[in-house]
Order: sequence, then structure tokens, then C-alpha cells
Amino acid sequence: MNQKLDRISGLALILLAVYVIIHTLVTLPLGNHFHPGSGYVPLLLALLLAILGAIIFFKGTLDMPFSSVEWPGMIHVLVIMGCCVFSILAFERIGYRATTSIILLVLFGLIERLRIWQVLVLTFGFSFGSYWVFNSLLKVPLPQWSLF
Amino acid sequence: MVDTVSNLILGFSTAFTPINLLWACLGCFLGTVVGVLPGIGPLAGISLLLPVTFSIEPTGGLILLCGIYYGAMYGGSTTSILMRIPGEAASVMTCIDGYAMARKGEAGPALAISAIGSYVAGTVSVIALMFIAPPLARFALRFGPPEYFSLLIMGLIILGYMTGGSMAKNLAMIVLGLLIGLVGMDTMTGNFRFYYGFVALGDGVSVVPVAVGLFGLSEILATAGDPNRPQAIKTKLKDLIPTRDQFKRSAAPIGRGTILGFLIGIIPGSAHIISTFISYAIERRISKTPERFGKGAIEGVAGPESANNAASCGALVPMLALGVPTGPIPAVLLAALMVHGIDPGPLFITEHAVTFWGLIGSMYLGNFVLLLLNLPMIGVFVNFLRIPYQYLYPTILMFCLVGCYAVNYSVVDIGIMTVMGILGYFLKKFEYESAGVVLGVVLAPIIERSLRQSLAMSHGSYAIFFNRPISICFLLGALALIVVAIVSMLRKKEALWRAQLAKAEK
Repeated sequence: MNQKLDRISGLALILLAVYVIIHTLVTLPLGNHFHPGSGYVPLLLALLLAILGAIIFFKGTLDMPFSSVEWPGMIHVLVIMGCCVFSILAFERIGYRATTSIILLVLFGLIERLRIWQVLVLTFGFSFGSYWVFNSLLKVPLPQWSLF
Repeated sequence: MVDTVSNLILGFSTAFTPINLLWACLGCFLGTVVGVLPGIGPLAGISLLLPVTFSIEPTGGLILLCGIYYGAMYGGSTTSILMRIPGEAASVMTCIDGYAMARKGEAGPALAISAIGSYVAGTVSVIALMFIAPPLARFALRFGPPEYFSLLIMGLIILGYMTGGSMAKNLAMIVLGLLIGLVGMDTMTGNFRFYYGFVALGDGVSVVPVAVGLFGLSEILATAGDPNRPQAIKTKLKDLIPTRDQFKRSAAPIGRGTILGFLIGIIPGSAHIISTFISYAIERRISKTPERFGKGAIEGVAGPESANNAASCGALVPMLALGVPTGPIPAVLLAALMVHGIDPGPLFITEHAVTFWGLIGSMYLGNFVLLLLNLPMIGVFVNFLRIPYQYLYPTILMFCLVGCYAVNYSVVDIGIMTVMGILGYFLKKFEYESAGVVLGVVLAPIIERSLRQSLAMSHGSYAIFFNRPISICFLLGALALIVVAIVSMLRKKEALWRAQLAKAEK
């Protein structure tokens, strides 16, 4: 991957703009200047995005090739993203306390490798403590599970 | 003047109720923590606590969120002085001389002058806000949809220009934000746009998951696995009181920083960061001993710290008087008002006088509370810096998750946050600024409504934007900036301040 960074991001913006234009033309009414429809403003914005993408593609000043970008801590990045996806799937199924406990056990125990007593204190302290603060004190209803 | 005094009394009577006092103090405390901790900035902090304010009445909620905003400006200096990393971007310039003073064993006076300068700037700026916002709002009552549209366009272009790095990239991020802001039901026709069958997306994309993803989660992704995390300087904080000479040398920079910061803060973009650059440059330029700068000159701490606090207050002027946010943080504050059913705009100050003047009253109090938090209690906050990041980031991540979920009680918002976090992570790698996305999301419905109403008024003619004097002034201002940017791009001569700003924002 020796493409310059601005070329890649400029191209991505152009492709996004093309997608929005096609989607708008196919699914949304454009209306006219007097009565602009739902697709009127998205179409204008997509055209503007395509122009800006082209400017970045052709005139971008970021000369670094993609291969020169550093990606430190990729394991952390992937695990954290995995935790977010897990929370989407689990939050309303197994409740707040169980979801946060599992995520914190993974992060403190498997990724950061803290001592076992630290993992347990931090995980369950945070899960139950934050549940009490949000749910009981601040009246922000959080999902519950009958078992946990 | 009599009106202002009577309104101020109303404001103090609102701010000094026990519950509002509590919110002000809590906001200041949380803001200081957020400012002190690197990796969680004021935007993520405010966004995370936004759902908490849903159960509070609007005045209390706004007092809490604004307390976090200006509290973070105070707290950011602590990390800059003791660790040489800015707690938030506006504290970059404080790193230079603040850290140099800390290394010489003068961390106490540096922290004290920073807190005192912030207090003076914060208090003077509240007075200015109090006198400027109401007349500006009265003037803005002349604005119709075309003026509003032109004003917002000018504001967004100034944001694109005044944010560091490439203007084309900044504008692209604003346009991307506007497109994201259009997701959901079109309130004028009832059509659903870009919702892909997700019922939760029918109501549109909330600003909270976007802001938390771009500024909270992406920061965690970027720093969690970084092995090179800086450590705080171990310093004795007993000698906090600056010497008479240090006070004398700081007085004028604090005054200059306050005026400069407030005026620059009104301009959209990274005004609070720019104000610190200009303040530092001015202090160095007019100093009789410029060679001391960079080696621990107290003027280099006093000026920029006062400027960034004044600028954060100045940024509230267009938000409260016109309903026009100048940056991502005022945009989230604006969203908070809308959540509480308050329509931001020129009528806000007259129709919601208790909320506006209550906020003003709380800001006087808040600045005093922050002075107390940042002087006698500074040791408490310094201890936050000693918490290893491996303990912090999992808990911050959990706050991000629960904060986003609580907006609509929907996991779709956690999904949006995750997508935005990944987007923010890549935007950092590709050197894009995320602020424009957040502002775009908040402003998209307002801009679209203004454009469509204007076109309906003019029977479809775009000439309406050029026939009205106030509107054409705004558009000419925007055009001038675009011309300046194009000329500098064609000459391939990037202004030095833009390059420095881009570096500071990384």
C-alpha cells in the first residue's frame, strides 16, 4: 500500500458521495426549488462532498504512504471494538451488570493482566457501583437480568 | 443597566438555590477531573453526562454541563504543567513554560497563577457575556430564514478555516456531519432517509453517540495500547503561593489574555486554542526578556491560561444569543437545550430568562468554586494523574457505553458510538479533524429547514440570499475566507498558525 494517505481518504469520500447520490436519486423525492423534497439537501451535500473529496485526492498535502502509518496496540483496539460489539448484543439480553462485568473481566484480567483480587474488586465494584449511581441515584433506567 | 442588574439578581436567586448550587459544584468538580485526565476531554465528558440531565430541570442541567465545560479549562493546565501533555487541546501552550517551571521546582506557583488567571478571565468574561448576549439577541430578532442560513454557512466556513490542517478536509468533515444529521425522518415531508429499516434511526442520529464515539472511544482506541505513556512530575505542592515578583509579572498577561480570549472565543472554530497561541506570541513579543520564554517564564502560563478560559466563555455568546454553536462543545450544549424542549435562538434569553440568568449567576459562583478546587485542593486532582491508564480506560469505556445507551435507551446508539469511534480512530490516522462532524450533526436540521423555508419564501429563487443586506454580508464574509484559502492552497503556502494548530489538535 504505497498510495498517499490523502489519495485514499479523498477516494473514500468520493465513493461515499457517489453512494449518497445514487441512494438519494433512487429512494428520495427531490422536489423542485420552490418545494424542495427530502432528497434535495442530501443531494446538494453529496455533490459538495464529492468536490471536496476530489480536491483532497488531487491537491492533498499529506505525502505519507499508507504503509508508513503506525498502528500501535492493535490487540487493544480489536478487543475494545469487540467489547463494544458484545455490549450491543448483550446489553438488553443479559442486563447492564452482567454485560459490564464480562467486559471488565476481559479488559482487566485478560488484556491488562492485573492481579486477581484487583480484577475482582474493580470489575464488580464498578459494575454494581455504577449501576447504583445511574439506576438508583440518577434515575437512569438500565436493563436488568433476572439472574444478575 | 437597571434591567441587567434586576436580571442578575434573578440569576443569583436561581443559581443560589440548594439544588442548583449542587449542580454547579458537581459540574466544576467533574469538569476539573475531565480536564486533568488526559484522554477524556470536555466534549466527551459533557456528552456522557447529557443523559443524566434528562431527569433534571433545564436550568440545573445547563448549569451542570457548563460547569464541566469551564471546569475542564481549569483542569487542563494541571496535566500540562506536571506532565507536559495537555489535558485538553487549549492547554498546549501552557506545557511550554508551565512544565519548565515544574522542572525548576516551581510547579506550585505555576498552578496557582494558572488558577488565578483562569478565575479572573472567567469572571470578567461572564460580565462581558452578560452585557453582550442580550443586545446581540435583540439584533438577531431581525433575522429570517435566509439570514439564518447565511449565518450558519458563514459559521461553518469559519470553522473550516479556523480549525487546523487542511481546509478542504475540515469542510469535508462538516459536510459528512451534515449528511449524518439528515438521517431519519424529514419533519417537513414525513419521509424517512438513510434509516435502513432501523426504527431507532427514524428519529435521527443523536449528537451524544457521535461526540462520544469521535472524541471518547477513538481516544481510548488510540491510547489504550500505547506503551509510551508519560508520567507526572513528582513535585511538592506545598509552596503554592507565588512570589510578589511572580504576581507582578503575571497581572498584565492575565488582563491581555482575558480580553483577547473573549473576543477570539466568539469566532467559530478552534478559537480557544488559537487564543492561547496568540496570547503566548504577544507576551513573548512584548516582553523585555523574551529569552526567558520556553525556560519557565510565568507570563507564558498566565496569558494562555487566562485566554483559554475567557474564550470558552466567549463561545457561549453566539450560542446563547443566536442559537449558533461555534464549536463541538457549544453544539452539544445546544443539543442539551433542545432535549429539554427549549428552542435555542434570539428568543431564548427573553423567553427563558430564568435559565439564562441562572446560568450567568452560576458561572460567577462556578469560577469561585474552581479557584478553591484548583488551589487548596489541587493535590487531590494531582492524584488522579497517578492512576495508571490501564485502570482508567476500561472504566471510561464503560461510561461511554452507559452514557450512549441512556440517550434513547437503545443499543442502536451504542452501535452508532462504535462506528463513530472507529471512524474517529481512522480520521486521526488520516489527519482529519472530527470537530466539524459533531457540529454538522447538530446543525443539519436547522440548516435544512432554513434553506427550504427561504426557497419557499422566494418561490424557488436563490437570489433571496443576495437581496437581503444582512444575509449578503454573511455570505461575503464566507466567500472572502474561501478565496483566502484557495489562494494559499494554489501558492502552496500554508499559514504557520494553521500548521501549529493542526499539531496542537493531534
